Amino acid sequence: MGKLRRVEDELAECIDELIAGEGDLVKYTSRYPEHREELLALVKLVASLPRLPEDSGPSADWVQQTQEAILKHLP
Amino acid sequence: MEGAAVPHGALVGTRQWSDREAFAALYEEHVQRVYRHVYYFLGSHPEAEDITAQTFLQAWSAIGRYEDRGKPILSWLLTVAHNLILSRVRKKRRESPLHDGIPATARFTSPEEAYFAEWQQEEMAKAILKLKPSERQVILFRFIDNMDYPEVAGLLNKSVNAIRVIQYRALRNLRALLEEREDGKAEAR
Repeated sequence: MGKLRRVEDELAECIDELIAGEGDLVKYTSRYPEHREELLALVKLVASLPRLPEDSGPSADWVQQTQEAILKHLP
Repeated sequence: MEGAAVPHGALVGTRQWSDREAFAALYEEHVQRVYRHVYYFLGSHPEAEDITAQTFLQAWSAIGRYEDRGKPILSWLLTVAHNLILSRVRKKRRESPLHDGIPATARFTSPEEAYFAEWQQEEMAKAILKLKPSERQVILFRFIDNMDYPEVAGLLNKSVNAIRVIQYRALRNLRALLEEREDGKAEAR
């Protein structure tokens, strides 16, 4: 594994732990001081991603009717 | 999450998708996820219904090409859906140049709050649409569908570590895209 890939792996792990609220920001930013700003920005970015409400799926009726309509189209 | 427990692509390699029965199974397995991803970008149920139905119809007509490539089926379906979303957004932009074509889905108490949230959501959606397909899918599965790494790895037929790295690169690229848009707007002001 190349050095770049190893650093990416470790930073990816930092992000995971920080997102999960389990990571120690001071530990990570002292290990990777050159990535401090990036780590903080990425954690903030994840927090700002708009979430979909749980009920944003299709209705059961629509799923059924559309399946029938699509299958009718097929040869 | 609905559909997540179904072993994705379980039928790949053992059945031909060009068989009606198999195609019906494919629809049942993936329709929820395709719909939710379309809804995330368009914010309208009638449009999500339309684009999702079109996705499966197009998938049927191009199914031979899928079988030749051997790419995970959900990933391929989402790419078809993504192309349809982009066409829809461009069409809306042509018809209404003042609107970017991506509405906000949330409702807010004050006009200022609504404006800011809508602006933020539009910017984010547009930036996510510009990511590479694998990066976009990982971001949506992980943070919009709240799936864990093993689930995403199973769906995209990759290792957990590969998904972790794709996620990291996707977030980095997303940040760069958002900053570019910000810089572009600042220069225009």
